[in-house]
Amino acid sequence: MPLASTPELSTVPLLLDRKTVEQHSLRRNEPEWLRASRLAALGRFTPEAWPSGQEEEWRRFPLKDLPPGPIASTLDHLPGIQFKLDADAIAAGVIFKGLTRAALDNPQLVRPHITNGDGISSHAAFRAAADALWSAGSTFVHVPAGVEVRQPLVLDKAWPASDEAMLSRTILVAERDSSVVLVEDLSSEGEAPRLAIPHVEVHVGAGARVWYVGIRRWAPGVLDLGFQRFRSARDSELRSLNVFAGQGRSKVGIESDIEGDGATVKLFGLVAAGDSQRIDVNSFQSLDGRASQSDLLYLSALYERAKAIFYGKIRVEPTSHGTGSYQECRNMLLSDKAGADPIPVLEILTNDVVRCGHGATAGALSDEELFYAMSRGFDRDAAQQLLVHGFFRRVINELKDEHVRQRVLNAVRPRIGNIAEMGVLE
Amino acid sequence: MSKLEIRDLVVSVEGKQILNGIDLVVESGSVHAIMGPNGSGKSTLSLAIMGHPKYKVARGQVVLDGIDLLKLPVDARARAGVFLAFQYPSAIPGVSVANFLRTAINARRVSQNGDGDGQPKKNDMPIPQFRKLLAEKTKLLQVDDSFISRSVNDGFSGGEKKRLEILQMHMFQPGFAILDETDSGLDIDALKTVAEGIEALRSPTVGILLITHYERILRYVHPDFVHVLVDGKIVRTGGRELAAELEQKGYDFVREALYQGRS
Repeated sequence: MPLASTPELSTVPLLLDRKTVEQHSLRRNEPEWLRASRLAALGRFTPEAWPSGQEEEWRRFPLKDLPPGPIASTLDHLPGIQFKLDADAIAAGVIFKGLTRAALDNPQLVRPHITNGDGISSHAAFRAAADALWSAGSTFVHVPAGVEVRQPLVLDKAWPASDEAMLSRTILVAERDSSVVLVEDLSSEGEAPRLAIPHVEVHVGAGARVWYVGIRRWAPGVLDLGFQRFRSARDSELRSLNVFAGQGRSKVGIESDIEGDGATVKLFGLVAAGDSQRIDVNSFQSLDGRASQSDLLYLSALYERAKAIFYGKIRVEPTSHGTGSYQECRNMLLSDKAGADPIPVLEILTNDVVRCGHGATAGALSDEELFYAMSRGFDRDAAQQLLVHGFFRRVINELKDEHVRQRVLNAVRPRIGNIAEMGVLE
Repeated sequence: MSKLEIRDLVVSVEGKQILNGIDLVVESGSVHAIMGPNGSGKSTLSLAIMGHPKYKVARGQVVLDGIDLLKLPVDARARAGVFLAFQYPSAIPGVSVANFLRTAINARRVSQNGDGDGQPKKNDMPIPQFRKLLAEKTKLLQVDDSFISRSVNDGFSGGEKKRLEILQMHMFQPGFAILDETDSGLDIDALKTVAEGIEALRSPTVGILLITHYERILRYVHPDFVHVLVDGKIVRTGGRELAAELEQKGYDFVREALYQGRS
């Protein structure tokens, strides 16, 4: 019986039913176990899985006027997507391919990671929707133990114009002592209201080093309800950067769990928003084990009537020892009507902490800095561009690969301007 | 020959009148020192000429070769050839000195009218030419190479900030340079380097207005004229010897003479 007809689900704005999910899988000729995983996800799509709006992280992002378009996409491949691996990586057994392809070719690797569905509970419905109906752009990356992938893996995910939802999964598994950089550049065309749920899971094995860069440049009309989960084993290093450019609205949940001793997590974010964009990020960083570190740095440049909301929680588990964490959120308001709401929360459940703190600011550009720059011959716009470029530089500098840097700068340039071809003289 | 004329300039800050009618003419090729006690309006004069939004001009004119500077926005004043070396330069985190200098030079080279189509036209300095100019100037001013890759004034010591002001002054090659207490907070070695940097700018095509509290810097920079600013007015003008007299007798001596003269 289709779930859509049950009275409970008619109270939530999106409808999924068994038939849709089954047909979606059958049409794509998926193996039985994969279909079962989609149906299991459907089972998690319950009214209780929806945010009530009373959760602290959902209070500032009303879920109304959800895009009316179809939630199941008939698009199986994104035209521009390529899974480029260099010869060394291929020889070392690195897997970088579409999730459906990987499920057929490497089921033993994909299966353990396809079913769990856990994470921040107020995002459960959206994870479930993505896991039930993921489609074009879904990707699987597996880096075997000890393998260092030298070239960044780059995914250009550009959805053509349509009103269909853009549901996708990205699963990255970096085994013990491996290293990899994954860049996802998400964009869409057209003006139609449509939903996007990019669901990203990153497993950082013991001693592994992972950089995940997610760039969003959605078209206007897109409502992005993405979710990201990072799990870090002992002595691993995870760095991630989310870039919110483009013109869509985003409500993204990020969860990072440190599950072993000596792991390092650094979560970075850049928001370059304008018009009446609303970029709402809620993060949950948990620290366990001995001497682990988890830091977050989000920088926003907000133009016109844009609003950035950041609700971030750090939880230091009672079983942890000597961990360090810092959460920092800075917002530059470039118009009187732009706004920011940074809300940091620390939950420290042990006395055995080396450092744990937060800093949050929101303010206009300094008149003195503007005057100084203008006195050097920059007009007001150019002076502002220069100061915003400088502001973002703290995060941009973290990117060591020049192509990745340029890709990030390209994404934010339409909003922050192109005065400074940074990097040329350094 | 270029001329900067300040006529009957009256300026207030946050409702309080600080400058009470300044008259001063600086011609290119000359160095004018303005000396005065704390609170006499020295910085107000420099910031009002440059166009700081907090400094309101109630009356008067600042004219550069027939152009009324006070009608121009700050950046246009800079492009017209006025340079201000700040007493308290702002930091611009994330922007390297090299990139700042290059983008500023390029911003100054944009011709606002373009080809007459109303669109500004870019005329960037080629990078090799920029590098050469920068190498020349850093050598002249004994600026360390690591300096230019650091963020503008971010974490700079007082001396480093002043050196960067002088480096910018040399890179931009202005027609008129105003130095606002560039000597303050410098140790003797830094003072000498900065003073040499100012002297090195001296040329028949550049006018310099050197604002200072102390006579000390005038041992290294030799002004053609010395003006004494007290309570927002220039009360005396003379040659270099006036600076020495001030150093010896203090500002009270001028102030007393002034008010005795009035009573």
